[in-house]
Amino acid sequence: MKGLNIHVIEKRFDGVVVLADIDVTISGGEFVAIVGPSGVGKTTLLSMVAGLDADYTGAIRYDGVPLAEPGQSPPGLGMVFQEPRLMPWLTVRDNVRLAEAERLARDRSYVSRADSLLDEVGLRTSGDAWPSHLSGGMQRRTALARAFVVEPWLLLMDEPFVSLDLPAANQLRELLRRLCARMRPLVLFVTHNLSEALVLADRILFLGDTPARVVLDYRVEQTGSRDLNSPEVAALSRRLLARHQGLLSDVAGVDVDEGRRGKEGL
Amino acid sequence: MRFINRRVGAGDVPRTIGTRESRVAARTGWRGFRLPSGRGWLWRSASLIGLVAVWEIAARLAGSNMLPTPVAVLAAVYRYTRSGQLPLELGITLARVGAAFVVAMTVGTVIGFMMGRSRKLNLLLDGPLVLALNIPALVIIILCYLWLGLTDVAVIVAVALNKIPVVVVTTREGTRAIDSRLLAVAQVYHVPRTVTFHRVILPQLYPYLIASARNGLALIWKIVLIAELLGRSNGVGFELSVFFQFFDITSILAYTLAFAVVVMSIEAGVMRPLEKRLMRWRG
Repeated sequence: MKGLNIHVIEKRFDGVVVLADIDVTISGGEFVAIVGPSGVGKTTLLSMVAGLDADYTGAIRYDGVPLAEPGQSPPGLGMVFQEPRLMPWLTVRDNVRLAEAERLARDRSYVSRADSLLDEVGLRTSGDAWPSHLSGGMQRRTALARAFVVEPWLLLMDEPFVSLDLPAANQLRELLRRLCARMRPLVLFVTHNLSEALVLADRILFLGDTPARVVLDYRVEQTGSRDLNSPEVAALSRRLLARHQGLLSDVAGVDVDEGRRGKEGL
Repeated sequence: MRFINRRVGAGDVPRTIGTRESRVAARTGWRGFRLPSGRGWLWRSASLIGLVAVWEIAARLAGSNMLPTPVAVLAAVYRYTRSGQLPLELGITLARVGAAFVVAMTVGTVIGFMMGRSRKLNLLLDGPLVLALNIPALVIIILCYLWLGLTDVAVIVAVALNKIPVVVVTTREGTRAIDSRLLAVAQVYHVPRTVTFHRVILPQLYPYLIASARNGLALIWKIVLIAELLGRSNGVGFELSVFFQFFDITSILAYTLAFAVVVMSIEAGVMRPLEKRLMRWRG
């Protein structure tokens, strides 16, 4: 089987089945958003792909080969967590270099790309700063630089732009799009914001039901707009929700705010 | 004032003149000795002068045999320093303190770290740990002398054994408080084990290690004196036991004062700057 195949037979938390019967295949370079209500198991699914959670039945393979050794993370992985997760005692540059540590140790001729990545995310002058001196947006840029410095083929993102104000989030989405266009990683992007998913992704997997499974595998038609609050995105979002009303009721339910904002925009 | 002038002239201050940082920088005097700040400095001096004054008055009331005056004690310090006896005995004791400190910190940190990481090991060693915490220092010292003879090795082992359980407890707490979310970052990026230890794990343990190092220094030098009194024929503790037999209170206070000053200097000149350096990211 070509591409990344995520096959989860069953994933339990304290004896309760949270994820079941998931079998999706994603081809390289695809940008896939995973959308679902909070608590549905999106982050859990991402942790399983990242090799941080191996306690499930099933298999995650790439081209038929297990993605990673048991108990390890797949090689060539980039990951952005919900929080920036920077080491407060390392400078911004050293935080980025931490992701390169393995490469630096393995390959004597490898030259750190940390500075060029910091430049790219607009933090050229902040390399020597402590993370605690940066704004929330800048901390997330650092996390983004750290994820892309390894030139990942697989990029996992867990609601990376949540709790940022709208302009900062928009800037970061634009940055993410630019970096993705250059490096073309396979992206799994967890979000509960349907508009964000529509704007960024080629394909959206909707998780729902208990235990959670993929209730809809949706290929995004080009909206033509890259603006989260544009009428096109709002229209697409409404059309989608109207067509799959019953199916996505709890997905839509989480994002009441987003829906309301969309209506006002029209 | 002399320190302040020298600091301002050093050239690294103008950038921040008038800010809080510059005033802090100006106050951070020679080799990291932090000069007391603003009003605090006044209060500290007042307390010190008050203490000496009370001592002086008490000494006059008590008569010089029971409690010598501060001047008499300082004169004794000077005399013993000139004769070379005080520096020698002090050096011997400090060497024992240093050795016991290094052994206790190393062994205690390793065991504490492993107990913090492994549930099984923790269950296995927790009982003995509680027991060890409750054995009186004196018992350990006596047993070590009986088993290992009246040697320096016995002193160092005994003192280290007294301190190790305390280091273990502190380090174990620190290890348990390690943020697994940051470890996940290291795992995701395949950060080599040594780098993970130095850059992700150790910095989280620093506050705990510094705390146990500071407490350790304070505890160890006191126990070393007892061990010397019981079974060695040199060192500050031994000298104190001799003065005790001769009822020489002036010399006892002179040695105590000298040693306390040395230990406080280590605290101010090594521990505090070290802490500041390791924790500078908090600034």
